[in-house]
Amino acid sequence: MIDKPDLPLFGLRPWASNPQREATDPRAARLVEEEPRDPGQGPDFEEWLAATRRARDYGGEIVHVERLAQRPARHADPGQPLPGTLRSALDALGIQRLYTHQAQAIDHVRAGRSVVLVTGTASGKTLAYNLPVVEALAAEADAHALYLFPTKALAQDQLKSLGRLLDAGTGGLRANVRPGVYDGDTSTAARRKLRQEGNLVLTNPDMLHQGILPYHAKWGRFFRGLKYVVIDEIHTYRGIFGSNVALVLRRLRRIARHHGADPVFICCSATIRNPGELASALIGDEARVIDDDGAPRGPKTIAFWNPRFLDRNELERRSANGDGGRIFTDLLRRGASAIVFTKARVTAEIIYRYAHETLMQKAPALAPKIAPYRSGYLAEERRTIERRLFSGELAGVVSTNALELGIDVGSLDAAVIVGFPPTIASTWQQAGRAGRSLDPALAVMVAYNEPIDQYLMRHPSYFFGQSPEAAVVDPHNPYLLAGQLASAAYELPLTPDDLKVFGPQAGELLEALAEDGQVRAIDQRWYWASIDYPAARINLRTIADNTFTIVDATRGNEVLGTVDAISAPELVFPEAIYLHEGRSYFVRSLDLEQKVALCEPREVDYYTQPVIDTNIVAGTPARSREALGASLQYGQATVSWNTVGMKKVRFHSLDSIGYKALDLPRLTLDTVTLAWTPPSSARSAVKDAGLAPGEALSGVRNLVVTLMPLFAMCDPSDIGAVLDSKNLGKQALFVFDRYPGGLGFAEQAYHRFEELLQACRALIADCPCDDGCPSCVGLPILRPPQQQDPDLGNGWPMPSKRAARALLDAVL
Amino acid sequence: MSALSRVLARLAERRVLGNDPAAVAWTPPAVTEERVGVESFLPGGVLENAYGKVYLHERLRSKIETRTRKWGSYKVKPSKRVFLHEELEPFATLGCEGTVFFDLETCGLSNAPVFLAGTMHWNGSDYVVRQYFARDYGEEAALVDELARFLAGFETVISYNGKSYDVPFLADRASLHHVPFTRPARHIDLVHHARRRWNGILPNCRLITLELHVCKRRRSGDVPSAEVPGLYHDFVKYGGAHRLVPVFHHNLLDVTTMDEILRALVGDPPPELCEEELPVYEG
Repeated sequence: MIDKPDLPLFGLRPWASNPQREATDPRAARLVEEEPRDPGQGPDFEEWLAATRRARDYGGEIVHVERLAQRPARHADPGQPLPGTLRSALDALGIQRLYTHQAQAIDHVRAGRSVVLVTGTASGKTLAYNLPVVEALAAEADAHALYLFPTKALAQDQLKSLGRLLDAGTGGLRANVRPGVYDGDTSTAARRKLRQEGNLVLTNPDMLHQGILPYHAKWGRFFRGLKYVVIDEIHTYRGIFGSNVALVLRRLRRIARHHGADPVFICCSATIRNPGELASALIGDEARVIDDDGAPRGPKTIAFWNPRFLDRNELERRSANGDGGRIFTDLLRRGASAIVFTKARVTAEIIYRYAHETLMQKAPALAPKIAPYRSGYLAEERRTIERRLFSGELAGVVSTNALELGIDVGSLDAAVIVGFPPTIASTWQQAGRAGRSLDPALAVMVAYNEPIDQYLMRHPSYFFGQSPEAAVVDPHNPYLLAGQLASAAYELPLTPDDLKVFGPQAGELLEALAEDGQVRAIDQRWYWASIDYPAARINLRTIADNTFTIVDATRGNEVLGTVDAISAPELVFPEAIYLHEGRSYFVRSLDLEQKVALCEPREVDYYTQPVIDTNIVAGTPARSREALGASLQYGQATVSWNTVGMKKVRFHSLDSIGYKALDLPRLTLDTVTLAWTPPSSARSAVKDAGLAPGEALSGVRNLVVTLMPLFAMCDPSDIGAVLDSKNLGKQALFVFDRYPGGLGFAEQAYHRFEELLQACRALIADCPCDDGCPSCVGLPILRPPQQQDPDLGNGWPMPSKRAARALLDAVL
Repeated sequence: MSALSRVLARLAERRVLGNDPAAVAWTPPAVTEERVGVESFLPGGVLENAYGKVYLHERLRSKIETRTRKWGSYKVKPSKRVFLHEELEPFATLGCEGTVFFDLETCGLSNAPVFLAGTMHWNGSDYVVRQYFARDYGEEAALVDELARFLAGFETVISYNGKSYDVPFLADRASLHHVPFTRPARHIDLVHHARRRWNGILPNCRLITLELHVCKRRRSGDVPSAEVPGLYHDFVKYGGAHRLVPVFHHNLLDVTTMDEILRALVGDPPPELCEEELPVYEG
């Protein structure tokens, strides 16, 4: 990195012409007085790139640079002009005209059609929903709106943003629009006031589920007039959380109907493959996609940075944290403002400390101008940092992804993203933090030495092309449906019409609940018949009651984390080494009754891997089709496994230093799976090359588990994959959802299997290693705990890179 | 294994196979035949209104308790007259015409149904006790409607803790069932007067405490409030009217006790209990 004291400075930038940015920035008023900048004094990231590449110690880390051209604003007008009061407020905020997507949204919403807005960060999505809502609430005394946000912090920020709109101009919008946040932190008095007088309620799905819907009798006035429901950041509603939220929204619509309302939904999503499908699945109704983004963009440079190899074996790379910190300080020293995004608090702290030390040595004036930021800070501390960023007191922030969601911290010149976030959608959101209106912006993506990071480094087209990521929700998973039906029955007796909304399984589930004494059918309705309060038992983020808590026994059983019952015997079996936030813990005991894993901190030089004996019994396939010359099936399966032993492996040397037999109870999971048997021609091709088809399929299996998150937006831990011959008579690859009843991941893979295998081949083909490495098929010992294949005996199955390559080449 | 677990496993398998249970339209279970109900110990009849049916039991108080000469009257000897709150003053001079006492039994503190409402009013020569009873969850709407209209026919409504609990509760349930309900214009909540009078003198101002010390009446085998919801749920699901006998009794005593508390408050306490003789309880 360059180490000159007289680095070219970028200089101050006056506010450029995106008034909608200003609308949310309290600085706007002050900046009118600043002098316009001389041309050529803006941030020059081309210069930075060039200088970096010229540096003596440059190691070829910049593997890709994408330059996104500047884009001017495109305006449009809504079908009917906005009322004078709103017009005056917008004028006061400096907004003369609306962008195309904002006008389209207003037109649809006014006509009573639900929509989903899919436009970039800082494109004015907030205004797109605030305008029609405020218009309606100001015009009708009995019109109400509900705003849903995934976090409390986001709700608070949007309340402020709304406040700025209401207070602008002379229209007196405040008198007619009475917004308030209703969540766990709201005082009792404020809650009552909002229920009785408020017409715009901001909340989150958990509160809606437990604190509003069950109490809807007290909310009668509000629900009667409910005209709009705004759901922001819907791409975060996927997997278990998303599926539960979809059911909560069905309950909401039912309650609204009971009180005489049928609200229009306004959804906002980051860019994913299937925003329309997701929105429709969530709200249970059609949602029109609005993606004609008319907001202006300055030129944006996105650089992919892959830390260099440390050794000739090309197994280890230099620390991404170190490189990320260096890029950060370098940009700061050049006068840019920047934010670093990391995946864990510990990493944010490490990078902050490193950056601070570096600045103290090389540019001491800058050292106090950086700050760490994590969501754990109190709201007050958060506000202070946000304020200092706005005012320019702070030039740099090192953050976790807490700042990724819409929270407004003004714009920074650059974003350094350390480690793939882990979705493409999140990456764009983080990159979107860089760029003040039409000024040039820079985002640097720094890769970890992990498969998906490395895959993206080698295939940037995956990132810059159409998003491959599909958000998957499954409101028909019977395990989730059972809990939500109970909550619904508690709120209001269920009628046959209601059952249609919840799907074909509802009737049978209710009969089962009746048999268990929870509900009772009387005259065509199902009533709640128990003293239990079902919503209290249901956590929207888990699928069943069996979550294990992992605690630190040396600190009064302080909770380190939770893990689901299926993963517990793999992750926190007795004597396992458990890694959490950069520290290692030794598991003293695993209590299966109490569902607690007791740990103690222990510094060790090894880690542990469970040896798991797996069995899969596939039922009759529900669907099947031809894929790549062979049969691909999808259906129900029962997977069972138990941890039979553990291996201790020393760090770095990867020597195995011990094996111990364990005896944990067998677990069974009823779920869904896909099954693929490679065609015999492919198997022959592999054998002809002198390689073993079993090793080939094993490699493919690892690749599939690695890459599925890119397609289905799941975690690798959401799915499992095994090889087995007993079921189909020939060796086959099974990929299943690790949740009872399935959540749609294996189904997604079934539909896009060819695409998935293409990606697998691309990953191996471009991996520079010889025989396999953590970035592709994985070394046998470095793989995360995998189901042990019933097929390949008790030894460690060795994935062979060459064999996998041969197999994939043969089928594709 | 619960019925639910069995069904979940079956459904998980079935939906994958595409055997949609929707193919078989859901038929609601057959209407349950009439079971032996509370009529056996609580004679009464069925009322029907726009919201359905509800059971009503009505009885004269003289058939439950021994009448005393004080019934119907709250007159106070001038020598014993204590300073009366303006709300209570009319009872000393005019008696309780146009007044109704009421108390609810419910399945929980909130978001749960009300299933029993006890009322008592003076008919000129005796107190008339009524108990409106929802024989299952489906009769709650009719109960709320009957009760609302009945209470609306009186000038004054008297409750114990009704301002915080019973009336808001009723309002919520009415809202849920779309039953018209107006909060009573004149509502005397005895708990406030009781606290004013007996705070610091009695250990607390729960109705049962006042009943013991002021009315000198001890209940035997009374059902704890916490158990009431479970008893009702069990009755609806499994039958067995006998379960509810103590609940009806409890409700009845609550209502009649309220009258005695009112009498004590207005200033004509039972002879044994005069101001000077009331024992003082520490803490």
